[in-house]
Amino acid sequence: MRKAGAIAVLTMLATVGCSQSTVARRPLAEALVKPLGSPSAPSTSRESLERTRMEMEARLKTAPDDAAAAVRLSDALLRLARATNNSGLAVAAERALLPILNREPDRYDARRMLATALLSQHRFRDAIREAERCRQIQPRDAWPLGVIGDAHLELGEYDQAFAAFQQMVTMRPDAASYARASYAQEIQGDPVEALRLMKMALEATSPNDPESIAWHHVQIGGLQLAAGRTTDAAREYQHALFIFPAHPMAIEGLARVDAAHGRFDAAITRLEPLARDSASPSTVMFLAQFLREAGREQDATRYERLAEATWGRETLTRDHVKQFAGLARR
Amino acid sequence: MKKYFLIVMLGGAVVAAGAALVPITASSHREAPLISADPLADNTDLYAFISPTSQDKVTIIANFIPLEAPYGGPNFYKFDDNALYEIKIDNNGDAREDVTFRFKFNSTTMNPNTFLYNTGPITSLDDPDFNVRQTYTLMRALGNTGNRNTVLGSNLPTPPVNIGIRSTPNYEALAAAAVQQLPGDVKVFAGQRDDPFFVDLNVFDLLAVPPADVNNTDSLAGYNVHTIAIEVPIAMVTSNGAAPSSASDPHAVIGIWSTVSRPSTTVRKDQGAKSQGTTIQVSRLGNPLVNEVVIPRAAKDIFNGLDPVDDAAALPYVLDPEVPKLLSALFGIQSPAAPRNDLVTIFLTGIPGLNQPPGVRPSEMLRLNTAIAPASQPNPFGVLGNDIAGFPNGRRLTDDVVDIALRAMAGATPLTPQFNGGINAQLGDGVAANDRPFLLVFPYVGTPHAGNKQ
Repeated sequence: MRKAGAIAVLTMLATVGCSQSTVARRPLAEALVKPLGSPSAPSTSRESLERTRMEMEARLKTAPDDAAAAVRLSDALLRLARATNNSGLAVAAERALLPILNREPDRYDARRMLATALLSQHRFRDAIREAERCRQIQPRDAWPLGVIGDAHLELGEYDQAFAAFQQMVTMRPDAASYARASYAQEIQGDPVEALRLMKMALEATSPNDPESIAWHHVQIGGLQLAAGRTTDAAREYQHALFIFPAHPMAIEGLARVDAAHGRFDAAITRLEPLARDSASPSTVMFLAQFLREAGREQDATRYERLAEATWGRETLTRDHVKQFAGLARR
Repeated sequence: MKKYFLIVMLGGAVVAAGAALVPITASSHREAPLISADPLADNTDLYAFISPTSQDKVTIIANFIPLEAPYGGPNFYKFDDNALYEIKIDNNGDAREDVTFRFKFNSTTMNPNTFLYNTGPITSLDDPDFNVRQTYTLMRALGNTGNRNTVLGSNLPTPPVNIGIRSTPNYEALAAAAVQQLPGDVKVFAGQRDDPFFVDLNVFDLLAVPPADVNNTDSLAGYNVHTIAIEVPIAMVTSNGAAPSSASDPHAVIGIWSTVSRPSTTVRKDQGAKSQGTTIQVSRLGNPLVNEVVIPRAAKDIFNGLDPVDDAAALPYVLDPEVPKLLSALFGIQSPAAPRNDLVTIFLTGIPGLNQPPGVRPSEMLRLNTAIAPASQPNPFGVLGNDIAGFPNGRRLTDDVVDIALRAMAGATPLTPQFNGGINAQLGDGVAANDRPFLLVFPYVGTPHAGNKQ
């Protein structure tokens, strides 16, 4: 609710009920740091994320015990990881949180962010473990259910994933749960319902959260593209770039639209800088595909080797790109 | 290798064959945002008062979307098309809605070839430069929410947000054009306005309570909200379908609360049809500050999902709230001991002889005696200031509910006379008025702050 400051500070001293059905009382961890993009929290525009990152790093330099700064820094890093394809930032987010959690193991917002950081690193079992621990602390928070569902999904454990998503969307129908329900529908072969739900997720997203808005446009673009509606897909990707300039997933999407129309040179032109500066494994794989279609077999093979080398590690780091660049020069 | 990733790789192998074979995107970046805040579905404040310009009508104002910074572009705030915004009225004291006004919004992009909110100055609600528009349907349902809706108005316009002097040069004219007069003597407005709530949020910094006469700063100055305002004949909302004959008329008191609900869905395909018709209540508001101060954090979401008929669950928090303990611990201010039946009266039942309906079932809602005429000179302390047309008998925009609530928590009301004096009766946040003037006519809420003033 709006006057969250009320609860935020009052709870620092107050004790609260565990649930409405019991009079048993226990201390609640101190106030949660508002996630980026929330009302009164900084925006998730690229500039704001970078500014938040710098400010929080500076705070932590002078006050390493500043738990709120660590949580907000990790939030910014995880957003930037997604918006730049730099998965190394998820590791940095974890590093920012661990000292805090060593001191305050039940610090809920830090624990919840740690689960998210582990998910972003594809340490799915660890992410599930941490999210389950969060569930013990705050069973009414839908956030950990998203982590649990995402992780099970990535592990191919669809029953558990769908159960978590169902619990999430029943507890709290909102942008986060609609998006997950969307890709559950996509996986189950219902692209129409997947598209409807992803549009609902976009509609439910706060204007103060442009990074999420752009992400949803990209997902809708992907669903449109999969249905062969390339014009609609291109519009979604362009909209994502309007909201969040240079978003790599949107650029990749536009390249795929080009390729779908046989414009492989244009697709390659879009993806080559991306592969150099902020590549994901899928970017590299798509680039390899498009290079082959353009008749550049040797270049395609090089990028495939990069993809093969990095996929096993599940993340692509700057070091991998540098190694690849050296390989390509040879 | 994860199964989902295999899908990606297999898909990647066929991407070049054309759009129809484009693969599912990479799972490694598929994690959707995890956001705990849901501002578009967040009730901020509820007001209800007898219309000062038309005393046979009641005005109800429900605000949503907290802390809207005026400089919101390129993504401007609007109501969520998929959410159901409702104002509910209990007119017989049984804690169940008897009259519900429902608002369902629909957005349209006039020119899909641009992402801009407007392509030039917006000078009217049908200006071609007004690109992203939102209209709504207003429905009324009688009885419980399963009953059929009567459409009171459809395709009703909302004004644009107040972007700035170049895009929305004559904003109040646009807002005025969005005030709709409907059959049945119903007036309605939905759109951006100034946030009328005034508070120094330092009051929540360990109850940094200054003397009430200190001029502190309205922490919400400069922020906007999205307002739904409706003015209806009193007879439309009373249990006997008539305006009350006097303040003691058993049909005079109505209880009001606002809610936001979102549709849920069924995730698994093999578990039946999609439950698109099922909505989950995600936000609820009646009296100011109850959810923020009385209900503890761990129970807040539960309370948001409760119907008033189930409010017995919240009773322990009202009977023994935290704020009086903080007042004692921090300032040595003594308040009435638990159980706080005085607070139950103020927040859950209404005050006998003023706004408590006969046979009331305790439940948290804003209660208004519709037979009490507006005060000619409203006192911002409402009933505490001997102005029975103000909070907690309904709530007017000018009522200083933070001061009133703090004093009530400290027992400084006639219900607990031994605490009704001294410092207890002087508590406040030091902010006595809103940063923007209120309108003298419907929808009363002030002009929203512009994103660009130059």
